[in-house]
Amino acid sequence: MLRRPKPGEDDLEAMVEQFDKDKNMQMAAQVVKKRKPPDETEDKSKKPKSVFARRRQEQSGGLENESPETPAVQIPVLADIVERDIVTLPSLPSLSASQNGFPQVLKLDDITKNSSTTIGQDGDNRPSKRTLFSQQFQKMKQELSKDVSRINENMSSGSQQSSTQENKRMVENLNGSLGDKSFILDGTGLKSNQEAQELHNENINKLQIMSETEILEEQQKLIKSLDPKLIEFLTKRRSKQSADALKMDVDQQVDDCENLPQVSKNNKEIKTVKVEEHVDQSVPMVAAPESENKIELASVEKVVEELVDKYPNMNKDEPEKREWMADVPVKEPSVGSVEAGFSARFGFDGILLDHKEQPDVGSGLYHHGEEADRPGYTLLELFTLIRSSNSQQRVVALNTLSAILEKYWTGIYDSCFGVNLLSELIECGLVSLLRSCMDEKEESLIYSGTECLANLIAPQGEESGLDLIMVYSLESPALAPTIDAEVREQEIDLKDHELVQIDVIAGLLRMDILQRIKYILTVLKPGPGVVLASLRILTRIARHSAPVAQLILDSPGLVTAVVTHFLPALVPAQYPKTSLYGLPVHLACKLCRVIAGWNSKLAKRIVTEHRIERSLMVYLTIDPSEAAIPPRESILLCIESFRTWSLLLKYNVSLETYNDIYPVIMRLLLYFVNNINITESADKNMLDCDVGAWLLTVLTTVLGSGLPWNEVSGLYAPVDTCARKWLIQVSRMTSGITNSARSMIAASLAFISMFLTKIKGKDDSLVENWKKESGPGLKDALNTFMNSGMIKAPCKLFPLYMHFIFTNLTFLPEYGNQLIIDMQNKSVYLQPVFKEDRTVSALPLPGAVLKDGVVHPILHPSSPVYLATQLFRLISITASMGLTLWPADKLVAKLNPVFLKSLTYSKLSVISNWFSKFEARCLFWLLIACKDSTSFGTQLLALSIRVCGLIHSPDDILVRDLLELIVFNKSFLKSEDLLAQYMSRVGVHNVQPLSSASNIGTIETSLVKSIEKSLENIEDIKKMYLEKLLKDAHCRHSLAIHSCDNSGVQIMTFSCETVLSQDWQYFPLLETYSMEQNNKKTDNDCLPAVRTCLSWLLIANTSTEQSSKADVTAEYCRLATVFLAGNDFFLDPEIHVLLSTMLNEILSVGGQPDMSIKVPGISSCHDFYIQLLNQFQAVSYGDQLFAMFVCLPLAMTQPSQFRKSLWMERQEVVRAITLKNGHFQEKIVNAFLEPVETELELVVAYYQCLTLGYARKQVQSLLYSFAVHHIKHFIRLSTNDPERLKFIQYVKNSAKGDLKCDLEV
Amino acid sequence: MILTQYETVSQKIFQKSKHWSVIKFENCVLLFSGIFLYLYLLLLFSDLDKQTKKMNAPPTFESFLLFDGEKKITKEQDTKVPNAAVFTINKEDHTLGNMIRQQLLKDPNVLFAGYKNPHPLEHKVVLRIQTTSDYTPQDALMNAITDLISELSLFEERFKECLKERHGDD
Repeated sequence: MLRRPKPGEDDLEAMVEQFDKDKNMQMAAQVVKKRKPPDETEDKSKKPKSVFARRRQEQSGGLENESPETPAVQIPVLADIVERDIVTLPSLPSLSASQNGFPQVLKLDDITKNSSTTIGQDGDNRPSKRTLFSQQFQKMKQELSKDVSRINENMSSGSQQSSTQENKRMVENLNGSLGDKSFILDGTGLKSNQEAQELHNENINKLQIMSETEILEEQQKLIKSLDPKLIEFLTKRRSKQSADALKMDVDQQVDDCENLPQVSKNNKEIKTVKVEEHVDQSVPMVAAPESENKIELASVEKVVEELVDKYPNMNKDEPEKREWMADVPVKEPSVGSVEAGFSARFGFDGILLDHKEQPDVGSGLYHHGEEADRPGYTLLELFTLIRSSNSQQRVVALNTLSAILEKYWTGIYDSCFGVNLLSELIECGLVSLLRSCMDEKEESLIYSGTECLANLIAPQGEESGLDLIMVYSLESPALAPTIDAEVREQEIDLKDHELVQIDVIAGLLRMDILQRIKYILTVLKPGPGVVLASLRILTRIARHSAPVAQLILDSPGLVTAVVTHFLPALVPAQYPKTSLYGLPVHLACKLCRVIAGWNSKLAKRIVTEHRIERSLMVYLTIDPSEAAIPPRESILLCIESFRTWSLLLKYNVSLETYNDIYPVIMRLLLYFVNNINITESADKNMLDCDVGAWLLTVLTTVLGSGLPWNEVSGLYAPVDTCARKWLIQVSRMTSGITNSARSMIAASLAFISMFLTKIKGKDDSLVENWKKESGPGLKDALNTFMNSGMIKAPCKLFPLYMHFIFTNLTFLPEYGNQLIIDMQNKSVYLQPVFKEDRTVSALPLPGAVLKDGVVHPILHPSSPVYLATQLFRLISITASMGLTLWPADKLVAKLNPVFLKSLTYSKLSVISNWFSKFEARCLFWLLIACKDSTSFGTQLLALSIRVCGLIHSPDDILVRDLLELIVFNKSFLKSEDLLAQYMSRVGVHNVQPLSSASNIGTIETSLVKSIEKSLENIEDIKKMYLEKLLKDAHCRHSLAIHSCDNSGVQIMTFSCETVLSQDWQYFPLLETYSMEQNNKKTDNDCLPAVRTCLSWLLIANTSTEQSSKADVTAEYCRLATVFLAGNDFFLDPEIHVLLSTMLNEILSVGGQPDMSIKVPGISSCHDFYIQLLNQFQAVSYGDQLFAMFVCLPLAMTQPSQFRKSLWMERQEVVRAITLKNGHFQEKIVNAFLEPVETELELVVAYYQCLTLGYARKQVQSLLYSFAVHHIKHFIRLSTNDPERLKFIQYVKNSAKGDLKCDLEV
Repeated sequence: MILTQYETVSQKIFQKSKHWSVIKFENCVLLFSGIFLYLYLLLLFSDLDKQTKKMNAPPTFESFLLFDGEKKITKEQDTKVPNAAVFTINKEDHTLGNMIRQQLLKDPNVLFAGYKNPHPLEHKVVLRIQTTSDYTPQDALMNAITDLISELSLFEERFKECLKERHGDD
């Protein structure tokens, strides 16, 4: 008995002792081996040995027999473990024993020779159909099978005897049709053919018993219940089987006549013919697939024939297994498929393959996917391959996909697909797939994964576009998707893949991409490809938002690793191509720059924690010809470090580095003064120009830093010399100059402008000094420049854009046309394209590539926007100092009228694009430069109003200037001009004056008075708009950036938004409206705002004949918001006058609004109208102006739902509309009458209103005449519709009095 | 669960005791316990009701109960428009507003009548009436209301008559 041990170790020790003593103690359980010991003799009889086994036995020389039998002893489970005595074991044949590395290949010839005697004698006529093993088996069972067949014969004969005579005939038929053996059962899965035969016989016996009808019935049942594919397979198999049988016969003969090659050849020929004949005759129902087989046979047959009897088990031809060797199937393109579209298939290089063109088969793009007839891979197939367990397949698929994405971002696929490729990819979970690829161990896979991810989120084109534009301004775009606050709140609850669909970068961060990249960079230390791709990914992530950039900086060890590995503070002596570790990489520098670009806090952190400025100083002075770094990389590195440095200086960070490097800078500057000429050939001084541009940008930034003035004032003289030299050089040139050279000149002008701004703010004496000393020289240089080729021979020397701003050519019609096309290519706002649909909201991009691969005009190599901006800026700044470099009158006179006109009045595109902001700046400085001109006309004013809506977000101060200096400037607004202009546009129409519901009674709309009054109030208007539109804090920051007051600069990354909306003039109206909608009572507070807004709109109204229907509708809706914004606004006499004047203007200039057009800002025009109607019903007092607004959508040109909502749903409202025909112009009245109403329910409603007295002839005469007109025409339409006839009859019977007369019934 | 139990219990009682005289003592006990249970549940649910209401919506009585010192109806002369007045009727909605508006529109001396519920959560209607010069909006409103009342009482009378006829038939 075992007792439970007590706590403590005493008991245990005692038990151990007892255990040691008592060796014979009985076990608690005994293990018995249940499996029987191998019985050799039995085994042998059961299993015939395979051919290989026999051969092995022969080779080993019967060693097996000698091997000692293992004793069948019961071994306790846990016995002492002893090493096995391997001496007694049969030794394996040593490798050296065989001559070849592989065992010898079995050849059929040898075997058949050996066993030919037995097979030949076999009673069965299909010996070669069996496998080699079954042959042996057959031999053993020969006797048994004979017995069975004998029994079968007996059985069949017995059954035949017992059956009736009818059945006898049937059996004969059956035997005739079914044959004496089964075609379907071939015995391969069974023990022997004999068994198949047995089954077959059994089947036949069954069939014999059944009558014919029964058989047919059963057949139908089977056909119905079985899968049609299975039936087809069976029928096909039967026909093939017979063909096979034939072939095998021939094969047998071939084998027999092995030594007579000529005969066998003949036989083969016969055989193929035979097979084809057989196929053709026997299977008409499956002809189509067989014909395919035929083609296949023709092409592959020969090869198969050669192989078929060489190797064992190869003599059975299985066509379905060698289908892959067949020719590419030719598919007839169906007619409808062109409209339905094709699945997009890509080559390995990411090229979308043409569905018609057939590239050569050798390209390796054909596969056995869904459409075997078309080459290439669909995205779905690529996804399958990316998920493959085979890493090579994954790599190929990833590379293909990354090539596709690379091509995709260039915009060449923009109009190729029915759906957005990118959103499809993201929805299908590409991001998480790529992320999981980065988790792999193989570097090739990591490389492909990172590369693909980089191509997905950070397209090269966009990035280089941003880099290029840096010289214009040091800002960078914030590229976070705009997400509703509600969704933001729920972001934590979202699944990864859902988050990715909203915000790709946030999703990636959730997937711990930063940690993984850090691991890859620090532990795996991969080759250059992965490093570059990872840096690209990090850069794009950093562009998302400031918190994300901070996250990168906070991520432990990540930035440190990047800086230590890829930004070493020395120029390497050698540059191995296998690894980038320890070498400077410009992308690493860019990452730092992008992070620092967010705000001064992050910039300071980068500098203090990572000390990058030491490295920067090294790279700044790099000489590409001497360094071991490849020239391209060294140029990029140099420029990139300039960018980063000037950005840091912009925040007043790392100013001491400037002092350190001052001597170098001065020497460089002097080098530029003395040695750099624009005239030199472009290639040579490409780098020089770039460096020059950046050097000057750095110096400009330094001007704004807190350094003592005497330290920086010395910079002016050399820069001034440079600028003058280059300007004069350019004006003497006959050929064009490079983009870099242009940027360099512009940068020098920017420096001068900034210098002048600075001295203007400092001391008057400095200004006077400058005017005396440097002014004239600069003026001369500029005059030479402006009078030179730029205007006289513009096409060659200067890009066309410049030419569009200035021209003195007379416009020939055809030339004008050409010009407009060119102009569209040069100015982004006049691009004929709309927003590209390539990007998705989850992954916003700055938009360097417009639709269909058009590069943003500002990135065009010949884009002069920067130079033009700086030129105009310099001119306007000097003008404000009292020195005219170039008279404004001359400038205005040379402006291109076509350019101005289209910019002012036509629809603009690509406004919210990041790159468009620079052109907006250019236009701003152009307008400011023109402002002193005496001929500054209304068109320029209209343009200014427009440009206000184009300027982007950090330029609030520019908007303010534009509004103060030009838009609300009284000197540009003259009442006579405005009146004349108004009259010329609107013309004089005889419109009956409206009567207001309010006390004043009938209002004489005195245009002159109202315009003059508005002009008197211009100061109020200005104040109101500035207050409402611009925020002080933004303006202050914007001023700090633009006047280069570095201590005030906090943020340098901005979103791609305009400061004001396009319809900023209506802002006070819309604001009041939305306040009212949200039930914030502000009736009386808002009244002045609405009043001033309307009076400004009266002055500034820009509607022209060119303006589209959409504009008219939008304007109508915006004006109508006045009624909805407050209950009493329309009762205010001033507002009444202004509104009626403006409505009149819209109607006479733009015509009717079209309510079927969608208006931006209003979800549905109909809902808006219902709102208006309800308001009218509730508060209008039957005001006629309000009634006019309500009536306009009732015209016959508008959708009928508007009429229904008034005439059918709110019939009492008709009573309150007391308009007369004379209140509208004739053409508008006609729009109410034509075409005639055809909807019965509406006409019924009209008649109802007439009979109920809602529309009376004297009071509601407009609506009365409208209703009468339509009923009159309706009842005269011929119709067979009983409902209509009934109505017509009713009208004829019930109309009385006046109505009867008017309806003429 | 409890409710269904209660139902079955009470059903049993009523089935057994169609005549009150037959009520046995046990049934009495059952009946009273049932009543107590019912009252308890009522209390419980009313409490629950309060709790759910507290969540978001303002209390329902706000839509019909005047605040302290709040007037049912106020009149404001519209200075901008001749012969016009704005009436604000508190704690009313479209039911009354629409009725009065329709009645006013039947008056030939009323030039304009319209009402508005400024916001669905503000329980009031704002009624605007403009009349011809020989009449004041207030008179128009009073007339409309008296007419409405008489019309409604006429309607009630007719209805009762109909009901009587109906009963008479039975």
